[in-house]
Formats: sequence, C-alpha cells, structure tokens
Amino acid sequence: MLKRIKSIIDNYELIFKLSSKEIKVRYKSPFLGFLWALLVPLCIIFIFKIIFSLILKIPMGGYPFFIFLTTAVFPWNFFSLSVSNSVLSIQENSNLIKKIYFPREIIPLSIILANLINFILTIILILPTFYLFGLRFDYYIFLLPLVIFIEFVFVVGISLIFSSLQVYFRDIKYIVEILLFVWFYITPIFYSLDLVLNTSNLFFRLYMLNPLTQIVTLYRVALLKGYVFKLPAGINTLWLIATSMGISLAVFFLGLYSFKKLEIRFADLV
Amino acid sequence: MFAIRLENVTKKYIVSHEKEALVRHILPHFLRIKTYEELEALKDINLLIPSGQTLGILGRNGAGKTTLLNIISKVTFPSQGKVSVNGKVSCLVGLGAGFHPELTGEENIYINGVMLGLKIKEIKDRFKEIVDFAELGNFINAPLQTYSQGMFMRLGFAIAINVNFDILLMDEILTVGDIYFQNKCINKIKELKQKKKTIIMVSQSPSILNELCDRVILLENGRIVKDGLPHKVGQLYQEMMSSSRQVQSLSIVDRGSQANLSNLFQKEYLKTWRVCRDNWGTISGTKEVEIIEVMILNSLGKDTHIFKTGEKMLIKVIFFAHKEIDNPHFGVAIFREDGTYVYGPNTRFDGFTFDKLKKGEGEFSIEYKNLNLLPGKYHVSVAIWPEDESFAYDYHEAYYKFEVISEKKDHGIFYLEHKWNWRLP
Repeated sequence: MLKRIKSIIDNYELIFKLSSKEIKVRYKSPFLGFLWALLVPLCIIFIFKIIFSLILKIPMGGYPFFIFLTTAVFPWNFFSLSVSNSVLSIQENSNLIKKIYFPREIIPLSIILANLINFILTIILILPTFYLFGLRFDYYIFLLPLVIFIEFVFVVGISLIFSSLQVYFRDIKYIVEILLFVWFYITPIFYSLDLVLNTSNLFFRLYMLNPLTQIVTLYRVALLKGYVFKLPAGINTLWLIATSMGISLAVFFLGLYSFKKLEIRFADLV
Repeated sequence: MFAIRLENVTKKYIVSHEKEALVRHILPHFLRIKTYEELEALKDINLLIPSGQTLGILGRNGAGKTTLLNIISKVTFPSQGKVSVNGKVSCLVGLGAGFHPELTGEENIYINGVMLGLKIKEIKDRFKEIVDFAELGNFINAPLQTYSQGMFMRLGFAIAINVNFDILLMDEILTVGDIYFQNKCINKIKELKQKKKTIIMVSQSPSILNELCDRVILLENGRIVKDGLPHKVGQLYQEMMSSSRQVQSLSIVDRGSQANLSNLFQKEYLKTWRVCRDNWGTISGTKEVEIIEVMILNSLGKDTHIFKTGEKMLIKVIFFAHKEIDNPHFGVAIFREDGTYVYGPNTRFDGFTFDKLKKGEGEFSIEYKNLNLLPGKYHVSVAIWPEDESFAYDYHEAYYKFEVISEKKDHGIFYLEHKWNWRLP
C-alpha cells in the first residue's frame, strides 16, 4: 500500500500537469472563464436565500444568511463536484487506460486536485466579503488548512471507490447521483445543528457520524467567530477533528485498496 | 541479458454480455458458477527477448498482437503467467494519448510527455527537437483541433521517440502518415537500433519488418506459431494469407496444447540436424533453455560474417535456463547454402556430460582452429538438447550466416591439407 502511495507521489508532475489541463480546459472556452467557479455557488446561495430565509425561515444561529451558507456551500461544492466528476473519469479516459501505463489513481486524483485548487481560490476570494457583513475571524481560522486537508482525503477515498466500481457496474453513476442528493440534505448546509438537536438524542448521534457533518461543522468553527461556543453539548472541536480524520483516512485506504483490486481489469472493460 | 521475458502468459477476455452486472458476473463468481464465455487472446506464450533485439510481431487481425504489447507495457494484466521487463518501456501504441483538442501543441507536448514518463525539465530541454521532428512550425501554438491527421501523428511520434527508454513498443504506426514521414520514422528506428535499444514492432507488412527486424514471430489464434528470421516468417505469413488451406492446417496444430505441438515437431524433425531447408531461419523448441545470443567471432575476437579459408573461427552462444535441467548437451552445425550438411558436432558425441544445468545465464563456444571451408555462403544451426535428443530445448535452424572467401581457386567443399607427388612417365 505504501509502495503504491509512493509511486503515485513519484508521478507528482503528471498529477499537476493533468490538473492544470483540467482547469485550463474547464475555463478556456467559457466567456466568463474562472468567474464561473464563483458564480455557480453564489447563485446557489442566492436561490437558497430566497427559498429558505424568505419562505421557510430556517434559523441560522444568528449569523448573516450569506455567510452561514458560504461556509458550507463552497466545501459542499468541492465535495460533490469532485465525486461526480471522478465517478466517470476512468471510464471516460479509456483512451489513456488502454494505451499508456501509469498509476491509474492519478486520473481521479488530478480531477480532485483541480477542484481543490478551484475551491481554495474561491475561498480566498470570498473570505474578504465576510468583512462587509461585519464579521471578524479569530484564531480558529488556522484550522482551515487542516479541515481542507481532511475533506480532501475523504473526497479522494470516496472517488477512488466509486470511479473503480463504475468500470464494473455502470449503475454506480446513478447511485452516486442519488447518494449526493441525499447527502446534501443530511448535512447541515442550509440549516443549523440546533435544528437536528430538537429531534431524538439517538438520531442526533447518528447524524453526527456523517463525516460531512463533521467537516462542515469544522469549517464553521474555523470561519465563523464564536461558533465554537455554540456547538451542541457533547460535541467539541477535538472530537470533530479526530473522528472526521479517522473516518477520512479509513475511507481513503479502503479506496486505495479497492482501486488496486479492481484496477486489474480496467483496460479490458473500459 | 534479456529485456523481456514472458512465461506461460495467458490472457483471457470475458466476452462481454450486454449487462455484465451483479447478477451475471459477481454473484456467480461467489457461487463459483461460470455464466460467461471466455475468449483466449493469448495462450501460454513463452517468449524471451534479448536486449538490443528488434523483434517484429506478425499476424492477422485478432491474432493477439496488440494484447501482447499491452501486457508488456503493463496496460493490461495477464490472466496467468509471469511477465518480467528489464528497463524502461516507451509505448508508441497510442500515439498522442491524452492529447486534448482545445489545448495548443505546446501544452499537449508537456501533458503527453509527462504521461510517457518524462520530467518537465527534460521536456523543456528536448522541446525544440520534438517540434523540429514533428515539423509543425508555427502550428505549435495553435490548438490541436486545427491540426491535420498527419500533424497529429507526427507530434505524437516525435514526443514518444524522445522519451528515455530501453524498450520501445510500436503498434502498426508505420502504416499511418505519408511516405515521407514513414521514411523518416524508419530512419529514426534504424538510428535507435544502432543505439542497441530493444524494439518490438507490430505490423501487417512483412516488408517493413524484413527491413527493420532481427527476428519475427508469427502469432495465430493467440499462439506463437513461427519464430525466426524476418524473411522466412514473412514468407510463411504471406503463404498463409493467400491460401486458406494453409491456414487450416496451421489451426489444426493450434488446437493441441503447446506440449502436443512440440511433440509433433520434435519426434519428426528435431531428432538430429534437419537437412531439409524448409525450416531454415526459424526458431523452435520447448524453451526450457533458451539461446539468447550467438556470436560468430574471428581470430581477433571481432563479431563478423566474413572469413578466409583456413582462418580461425569461434562461435559463442549465450543461453538462459528457465528451470533446472538434467544433462543437456549443446550442438553447432554448419550447412552450405545449397543445403549440404557440412559439419555438426555436439558435446555428447565428443564425450562431454553436464550433470545439471542450474537456472540462469550461461554460455558455451566452439572453436574451429582452421576453418577449411571453400568460398561460399554458409549457415549455422545452434541447438540445446536434452540427453536423449527426443526433442530440442531451443533450436535455431540455419539461423546465422557467414561467408567464406579465398584468394586461391579451389573446388569442392573442404580444403584438405594436401601435397602433390608425381612421377612422370
């Protein structure tokens, strides 16, 4: 397994080249180019604003709606884009798989990396707007790189599993679509954790085991000043970091393992 | 040293049913029921390719040529058997793999180059060379979608050829592009040959293989049915293609396992040196021990093929034992071009026994103190046999050539040391 990781890391130049190709191709033709990376999530936020704050009136824990959503929609976007882009990546790159040998993990990995770069750039651009809403950051902002890293590891694991399975079962992409849809709703993106606390205790505990819930909550701890004091009882930052890290690493190694097992017949099946 | 070694390699493809899904494949797999058909693309291939050799692979569509290349390049895995590769492989199988039509030629050079295993710095160093070889000029800054098919291929070839490799795999690439570019590629390949790179090329064209290769194998239904000198195998291939009868008779042989196939050959022909010229220039045998290289050296130790009558000649053979062998013996025979069997000693008849041959590389040589052959062209057969000579481990039949020249006028086969005496009436 470690040898595998090493051979992937040895190919870092290839990963970077493929990611930059991915980014270039994505923004080369559209007139607005990279702006779309910002515009899409902003549009989502705007739509939510209309639906949830004007019509449904969901409490946001006392933060401006825009800020509250930004802290979750951008990370969610990174997750869902990476997973849905990489599910088909092996199958769609059959011309590479059939012709050249290199560690195949690099294909989904470079797509995720492209999305990660995208995500980090948009976060950097969006953070100053927090000041417009009168929000200041505290020391918890230094958690941000760690949280991004945890999410990245998790995304890689999930993508490796689905992209390799997709080669064998073409049904996976539909399953992933549904999964992402459900996952969006069981993650506290447009509502706050307090809302879940109102349900039964058992449900809340199960709910908190969703790694994306942990990750999104960590993003809020990092970006929203004072959010850490509003965490429900029994949940603290350390627990969030430890569990999300643990789950992410487990998923990551499971992904590497399943990918390695399934890789053997990639070239025959794509 | 060998570059590539395939041992009992079999590749099976599952003939894909419309839905190769849970019900059809995975569940039966756990229950150990076979619900799918299998297609054997390669059957029990044993192949040793010495480094520096240019090997051609000939065969009809679907014979398993590309699968063989893919297995060597690790693109696909063999179902059974072992593949060992010594050295870095570059693949001209997918020219321009990873090219993106919206990016410029330059950007694509970097992506494709890195994919083939170059470092970015190396690409920078070779950038000019690549662009020059591809003859793209200003197009290098234009997106790939504006390229013609020929430019596309040229760029792909130029990048792949500039990768550091020890082993080059090529799949039918010489049939694309115009004649000018084809010649350019052929010259480049000849240059690589001189640099002692190992090259494996698949082609449908015996004439190209004849021009470039040292050795050609003929694949038919996933088996190596002929192994030998390019002109010999090429000729057989053309006969096979032109008459369906030949194909049939070949496929009957195919159906037997490799052991049967070998037996058939061995019992009939391999017992002693074959005198019939039909199989000259071919390689056969069961390959437990394999001949890697044969050198014909003159008195100065130089590898040559021209000798003077009476000069010293040394034939040196390097071989590789794939497994432990009891009591083998070696033989070298010389034939004149017209088929005359000139001389063929072997180590057993000369009274030497080797109890056991361990796994690994070894060599033997035979020295002719005075090569008393008269001018003409000669062929050399080299073989390694088991004790009873019921078959051959490896048999290179009239595979190597040398020529004898002389200033004196002589007639016959041999120069016999002689002295005239006379008494005139």
